[in-house]
This record gives sequence, C-alpha cells and structure tokens, in this order.
Amino acid sequence: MDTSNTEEKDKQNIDAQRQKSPWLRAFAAGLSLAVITALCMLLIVKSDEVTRDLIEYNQNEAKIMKVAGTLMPDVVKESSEVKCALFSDRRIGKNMHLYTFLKANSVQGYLMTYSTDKGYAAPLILIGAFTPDKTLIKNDVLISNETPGLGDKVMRRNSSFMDMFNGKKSEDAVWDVKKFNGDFDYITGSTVTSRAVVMATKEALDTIKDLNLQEFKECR
Amino acid sequence: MHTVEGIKQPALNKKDPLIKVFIRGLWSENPGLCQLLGLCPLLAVSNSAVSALGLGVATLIVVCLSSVIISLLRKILLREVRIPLYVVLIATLVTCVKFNVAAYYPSLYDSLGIYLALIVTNCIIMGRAEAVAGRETPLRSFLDAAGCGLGFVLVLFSLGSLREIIGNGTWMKGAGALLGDWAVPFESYLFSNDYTYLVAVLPPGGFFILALLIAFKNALTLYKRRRAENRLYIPSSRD
Repeated sequence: MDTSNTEEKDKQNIDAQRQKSPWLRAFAAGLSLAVITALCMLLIVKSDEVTRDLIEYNQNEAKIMKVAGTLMPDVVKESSEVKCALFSDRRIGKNMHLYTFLKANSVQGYLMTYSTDKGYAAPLILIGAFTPDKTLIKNDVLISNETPGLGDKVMRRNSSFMDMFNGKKSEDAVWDVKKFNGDFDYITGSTVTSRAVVMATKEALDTIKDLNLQEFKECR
Repeated sequence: MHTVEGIKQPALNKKDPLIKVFIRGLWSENPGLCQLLGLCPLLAVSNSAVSALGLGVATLIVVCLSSVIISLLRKILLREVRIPLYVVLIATLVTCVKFNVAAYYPSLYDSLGIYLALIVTNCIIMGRAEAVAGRETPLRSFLDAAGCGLGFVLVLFSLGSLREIIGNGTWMKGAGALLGDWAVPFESYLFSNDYTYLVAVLPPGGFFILALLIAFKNALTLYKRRRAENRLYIPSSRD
C-alpha cells in the first residue's frame, strides 16, 4: 500500500540521518526538550501569578465558613448569600473583615474579625458572630500568639471561657475582669490575655454598631 | 495492526470527511465505551452528575488544546523525544487548568480532589496525541480530539447521572455552584434515600453500571450490523 511504502522510506531517511550525525541529533533532541520545557515553565508561572490571589481568597473563605458553621450554624444554614467587606477601624485594627449573611436581601447575621494589641503577644485576632441587631451570638479566637498553656486557655478549643460572652450586648455589663471591678471572669495566671479578650469584644460590639456598610470595599 | 487503542487502520484515510473524524470519537470509537481508556477517573468521579461533568469538560479542554498544539509543532518535534515532549505539554496544560478551576470553581475543585491532576495520565490524551495529532493537520487533530473528548464527557455524564439517581435519589446536585444560577432549577430531588441502592455510588457500582453501558452499546452495534446484513435478529433467541 501507498502509506506503507512512504513509511518505509521515512524510516530509511531517518536511519540515514541517524548514521550521519548521531551526536548532533541527540543534542538537537535534548535542546528541543529543554526549550519546550522552559516555555512550559513560563506558562505555568504566568498562570500561577494570575490565579494565586483568587485561590488564596477561596481558601480563606472556606476557612471562615467553617468557623461560621461552629459559631452560628443556624444562620449559615438559613443564608443563601454572603457579602464580604474589608475595613479598618481605630478601635479594632486594620484590614478587618465583616461578612454579612443574607437570605433574599434580608440580613440573617454578621461575622466580624477584630483584633487587639492589649494581648500578651501580637497579633491577637478574634472573630465574632452577631445577630442582625448586633448582639453577640458567640465569639472565638482566630489567630493568637498567647502563651501556650496559660493565655491560650481562652480559646474555645481549650476551655469554655468565652461562653461567658454569649448573647451579650455592649450595655449589658461592665467590660473588664473581676480583678479590676468588671463583670467578667479571668483565667488565673493569664490576666492580660483574659482582659484583652474582654476589652476587645467590647470594642467590637461598639464598632459593629457604628459601621456603615456601604462605604467599605469588597474583600477581593 | 494491534495497538493499545485497539485495532488501528494503517493510517487515517485522507478521504475521511472531517465530519466523520468528529463523529468517530462520539460513538464508534468512544474512549469510554469502546477503547476503554481513562477508566480510573471515569469510575472515581462519576458518583455525581455535576462532578462527572466538571471533570469531563476539564479533560475535553486539555485534549483539544494539547492536540492542536502538538499538531502545530509536529514538523519540528524530533521523533526520538516526542513522548517526553507530549508529557511536558499535557502536564503544563493540566496545571493551568487546575489553577483556573481552583480559582473560579472552588467547590468543583474540592469535589474532584486529585483526579483533576490525574488528567495528565489519562490515556485518551496521550493516545490522541500519538495517533492523530502527531501526524495530521491542526484542523483534523482538533476535530478528532473534540470528538473523543465529547464522547468521554457523554459517557461520564450518563454514568454520573445513573449512579447519582440510583444511589442517591437526586440529580444534578450542586449544579448551581458549577454552572451558575441558571442551573439551579435543574437540581432535582427524585426520591428519598430509603429507596436507593447505596452500592451505586460506591466503587463496585461504578464497575457494574459501566459494564451495563458497554453491554448496551455493544448490543446496539451488533443489532445495527445484523440489520444491515439483512438478517432480522431476535434478542429472545439468545440465552
């Protein structure tokens, strides 16, 4: 058949070429492999550049949704949409996030990150779930560098210390620890961290009341 | 001559019309039902219609792009290093697709897991590159790749739908996250879990249902062939 003849001829050609300059051919093969691999690497690096921020945002959002599921599971189940706003406030720090959980354009709840510099070691970032009328549902520590075994006892995974904040409003209590004539308990040996958490939560409750959501930029 | 893809014609008949090159991959040489290629992702992600569709479309994109690129480069690629070069190109394309899926479809990315990256090892792509793209013009390579890719998507989608309906009682669960809000009405809840066969969404069920699909296709092909030979074939006369 025609095609088998041309295939035979091709093979002979290639064999002849190989006889002539095997080293040159091998070098050309290696070089073409290297060049194409280099071009492919460039393409991958470019593609990573373009998508890296978005991937990080998605991963953060997944993490936040998991936290929201533990702090306010009913709200998360009810909501169909989440809006994210990025803002800074003198009281709770720079680049904090406010997540608004909506169902058919009516607010079901808020999730806000807030930070304080009164802790033992910076950063100390907490996250709080709020009802539509800005009462605290539950809060937890998101990022902390507090002393392991002492200060980190405030975190929900180590103790139920933060349950004393559940359902509180800003005007419900005197926001300090009992040692300093406040209403809140503190962990023996970590007054600084306990106090920081109490005062930060008060600032968060005050801040979320004053927030004007329209003037903040989107998180992405 | 016998190759890993089945009995191969000596070479693509140049007189094959372009439309036949495309239709071939959809039915008569379907990669999932006929060539039996890419069975690992086929069985692993087809337990729900939406993730099956997502992986199918990702594979379709990779096979089309890789076939076109390889076909454009076919004159300058040296025969000795063509396989490593194909692998490098396919792996690059899959990496770019993976980044884009992770960025724009995070829920699909989570449900596909490692099978998105395993598209690199999918024999369909390598098979099309070696059999067609390395020898034919870009247009024919693209049509051949598109036909095979679409055939794979169809098998994946039908297998995924069957397994989801029989094993879960739902259909197209998660369509809104993958395709957008217009697809949300397609998410159906057909019957409750009490009436489903859980085995259908487990690995053995995948094998069983795929086997039934292949048997169905073979029966159809046999029936058509017998009918074409002017003999009436009565199925009940078989054991």
